[in-house]
Amino acid sequence: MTHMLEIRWHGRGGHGLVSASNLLAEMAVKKGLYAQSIPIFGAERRGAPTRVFTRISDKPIRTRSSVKNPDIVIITDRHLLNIINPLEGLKKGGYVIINVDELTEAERSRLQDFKVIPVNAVEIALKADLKVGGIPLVNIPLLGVLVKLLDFIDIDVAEEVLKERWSGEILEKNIKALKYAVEVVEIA
Amino acid sequence: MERVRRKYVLTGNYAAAYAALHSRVEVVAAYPITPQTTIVEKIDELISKGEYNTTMIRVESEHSAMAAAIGASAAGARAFTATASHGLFYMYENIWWAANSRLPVVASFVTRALAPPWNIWSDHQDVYALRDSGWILFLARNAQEVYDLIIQAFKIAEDDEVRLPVGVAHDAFIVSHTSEPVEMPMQDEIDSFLPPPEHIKPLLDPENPVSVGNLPTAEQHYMLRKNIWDCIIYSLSVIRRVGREYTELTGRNYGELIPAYKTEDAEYILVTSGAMGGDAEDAVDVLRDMGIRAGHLSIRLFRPFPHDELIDKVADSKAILVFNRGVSMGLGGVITADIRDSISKEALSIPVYDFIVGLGGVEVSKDDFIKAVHDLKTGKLDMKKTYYLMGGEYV
Repeated sequence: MTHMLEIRWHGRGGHGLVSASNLLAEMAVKKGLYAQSIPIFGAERRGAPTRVFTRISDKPIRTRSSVKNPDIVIITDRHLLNIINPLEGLKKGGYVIINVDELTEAERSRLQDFKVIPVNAVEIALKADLKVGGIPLVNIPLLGVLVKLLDFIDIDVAEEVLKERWSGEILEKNIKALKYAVEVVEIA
Repeated sequence: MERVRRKYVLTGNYAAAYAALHSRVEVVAAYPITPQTTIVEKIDELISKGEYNTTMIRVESEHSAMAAAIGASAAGARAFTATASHGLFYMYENIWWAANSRLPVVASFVTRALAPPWNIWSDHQDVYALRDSGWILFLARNAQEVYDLIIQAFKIAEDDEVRLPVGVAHDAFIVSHTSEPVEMPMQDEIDSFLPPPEHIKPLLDPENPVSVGNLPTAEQHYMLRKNIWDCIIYSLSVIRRVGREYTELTGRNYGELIPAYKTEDAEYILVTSGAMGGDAEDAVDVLRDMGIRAGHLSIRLFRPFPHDELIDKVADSKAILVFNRGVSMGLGGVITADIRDSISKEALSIPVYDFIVGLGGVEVSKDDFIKAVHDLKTGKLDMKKTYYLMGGEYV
């Protein structure tokens, strides 16, 4: 790594972003890197816009303020583009990983300065039967995109970390969702 | 020799929980409702898995949590509790009871703002309120320091010549809920560093009956407080010795009570405490790239105040800028007052500038520190003023 990688997750309370960011940090640390996962807790409740930051570096990380110029932005809900500005400060040419079936023309033009990775995280979650209270969990499919995108993380370390977190049927569903995402996502 | 280590990605709160249990704490007393933290939740979870021989006493309030810790400690047990903000204030009466009874209780405090209005974010005001009690107080910068300082805290508190409670504080969310790698010594290494609790001399001993909390003479009370003064001043040497031993065990530097960054040749020294220290070090690097010789000190030990070490590290500087996450209303920054006290005791003429940052959880980032140094260099700052700096602007 030549610099500190900074990722900003934008979602809604209940999307599981804190878990996904923590799992990514654990994967990086298992690979001998340093990592940090900072959830931003406001007065939000389930459904409200939330942010989480992940930093990964080959050196110890001392910065603890918010990520202002991310390399990667992850958006779990396309409607957030109209409510807040998830792209704020995103580096030119940075990655946008967005949970959509297909991008609209308006979205395409909004995202034209960035490398966009659209992924149908809902479909992946449903295919893996990864749901909480009947609602598909998009966090692990999106984490799967990062496992594919980031060359210092591989599927083996990802599985190892998931195995430390869950067991039994829940573990199987999470691994399935992660692997589906790695399989189907296309990174240009 | 390369030693095998345990390394986990943990929040500051979980680091505190593991540290207490790895210290073979015997009694943990806690009130489980807001503003309690995930520290005691994790401790309870690990105890219920049968992994530790620790008794968890669930009480009806924070006042009782400290009372139970005091009772356990008085009987000679290794006792621990954790709380934050209003819980700490509800515990406040017994904070003094623990100090004046000379009990080696160890507590973890998550620093949070005080209501009204309700606020769950970081602010050091709650812990600053313990300043004068006789507790030894640390402010950790990250989860690793939380873990390391709690292990050391038991050894310091239980030293026969110290016998004072120790609090280790960390910033709400920025440390408490942030996950990062934490390296831990193996249990046998901790056991060789920290002797088993059996060595603690019980205050309440049937073989040697004493009266605690009786109504003494004024002179006796005066001497009790004077003894605490002597012991907390003496504790500086114990804290240093324990820090050196822990450094030897882990390779992490605890010989310093005020960790320094690039201060050797620094003209401008930034002073912070707690979680904002990392961003202050980022600012030092930016300033140095601009050709400005800046340095940073983190007040990791707040009480007793490490006067000698501070003076050693600032003596050759041109100016000191102190960033406080808590204010003494009508006076200024709490830590600024400490720094000015040290400077005055040595009759030094280094100007000290006072900044209030991060109250109520407002973000502190490198831009705040850079702006302050620039304004000082361009003659915009008045030493007599207290500057409220939020988001890179004075308010």
